Amino acid sequence: MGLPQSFEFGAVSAALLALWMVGITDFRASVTLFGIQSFVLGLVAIAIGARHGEPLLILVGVAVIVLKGLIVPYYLIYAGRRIGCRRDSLMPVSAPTQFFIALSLLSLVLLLRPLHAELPTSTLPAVGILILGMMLMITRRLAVSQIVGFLVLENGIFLYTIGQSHSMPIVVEIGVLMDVLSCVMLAGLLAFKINKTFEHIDVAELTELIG
Amino acid sequence: MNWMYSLPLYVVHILIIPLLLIGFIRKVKARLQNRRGPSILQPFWDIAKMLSKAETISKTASGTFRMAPMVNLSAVFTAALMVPWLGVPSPIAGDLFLVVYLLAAGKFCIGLAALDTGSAFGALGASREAAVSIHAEPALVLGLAALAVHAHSSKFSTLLAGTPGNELTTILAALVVVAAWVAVIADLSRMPVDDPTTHLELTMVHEALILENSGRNLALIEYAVALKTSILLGLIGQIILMGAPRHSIGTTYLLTLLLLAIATVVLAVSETVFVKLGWKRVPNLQSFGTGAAILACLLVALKG
Repeated sequence: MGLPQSFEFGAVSAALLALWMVGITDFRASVTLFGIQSFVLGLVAIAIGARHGEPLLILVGVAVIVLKGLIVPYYLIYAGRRIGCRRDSLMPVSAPTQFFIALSLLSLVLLLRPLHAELPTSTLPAVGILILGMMLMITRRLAVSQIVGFLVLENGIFLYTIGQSHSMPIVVEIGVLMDVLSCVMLAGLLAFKINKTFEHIDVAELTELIG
Repeated sequence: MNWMYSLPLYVVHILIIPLLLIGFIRKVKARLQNRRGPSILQPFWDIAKMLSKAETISKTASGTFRMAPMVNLSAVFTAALMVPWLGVPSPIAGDLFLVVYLLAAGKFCIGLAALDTGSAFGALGASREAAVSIHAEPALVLGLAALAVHAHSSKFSTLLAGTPGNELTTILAALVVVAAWVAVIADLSRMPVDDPTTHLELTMVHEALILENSGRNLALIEYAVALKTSILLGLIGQIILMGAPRHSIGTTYLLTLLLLAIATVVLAVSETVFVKLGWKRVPNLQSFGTGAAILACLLVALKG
């Protein structure tokens, strides 16, 4: 398999990992899958960087692997353990049904295939990941699971930008990464706070005002 | 290779491999649980023992009960001659739909026999097994159908030939392997769908189905299950090999045996590590298989 193929393979498998995340409710498993997805995307960035001779893109890939592939998942698993949440339950739509809905959404994305010749190879998987991330954010009821949804969405955006012929400037790329990191830390702290005040982090139940 | 050579080869393997495979699974499982475990050849002695024992048959049972294990075994045996599960061209050119539904027909007969005895356990096992099969079927059939459409033929020989090095074939093979694996563990009543060692009435599926059988009938059923295990695992091995570069028949055969051994080790490890899923969560697992198969179909439909 040549580099272009392996690169498309990575993008597609990242989309499939996002699909898998929609189908499961276990919090630790979905965070682990997110870590693997970031790892794959980091490798894709490194592959593109190596192909076009852009050392900065390689640097971004390494940063993604370290930050989003290792630190963020570890932090989220730590947060989940401290809050004591194991799985999303009582979702309005059950996980297998969501899985099939997500599958049909992905097939709608695949219908854009005729435009494929004009788009870079990773655009369709990137749009797919973006949609699945949004779906995760909408359907999950645990605050920490919604953070995972947001991170998946961000991974979609990342894949979209590195696939473009003129990728974003390195400063923006690294800046976004730092933003994501601080965002996750803040959201984690917020989740701790919510848990302390309400004794749960089910967003559907957050209706009463507690000072 | 013409059928004059492949037929004896297949018949010899059909007689040896299935029971060896079951013995191997049990041995690996025992080692993983820190037991010494029975010899790999134990399933052979078990079958021999069951064949020599007298049968106990319910008075209410009709001829269906006696016939069903034989019908099942002949269906599975025919399927074994049609699927190239050894990596060598099969003696009879098999069609995917024929093979899948031959296996389903065999299962249907066993279900009928279980209902025939009028025992509550048989009926319970039959309904559970039927439910699991219905969930597993779309994954296997759609997955193989995607390969068939990709190859423009539903014959196993052309369908599994594939085009090596092609990125579509690789992704397709990966998806179909996932779908087939999920379907096959359900079809073979393996963990995490069913526990083959349990005899607790709350949890057993396949064991409840065959609870009324004894002696010769039980031997036929056990052997048919073992044969089905090796066919389906061998078939998955062939799908994995689709993505690999072409080899000579000898190499493919050795690779297939290796993959069979790996598959049994994976089965044994998963049976040691995982717990049985709750009955209501089995469809959740199956939905992943079906999803992978649907994705494979979509890929084929859009690309070729």
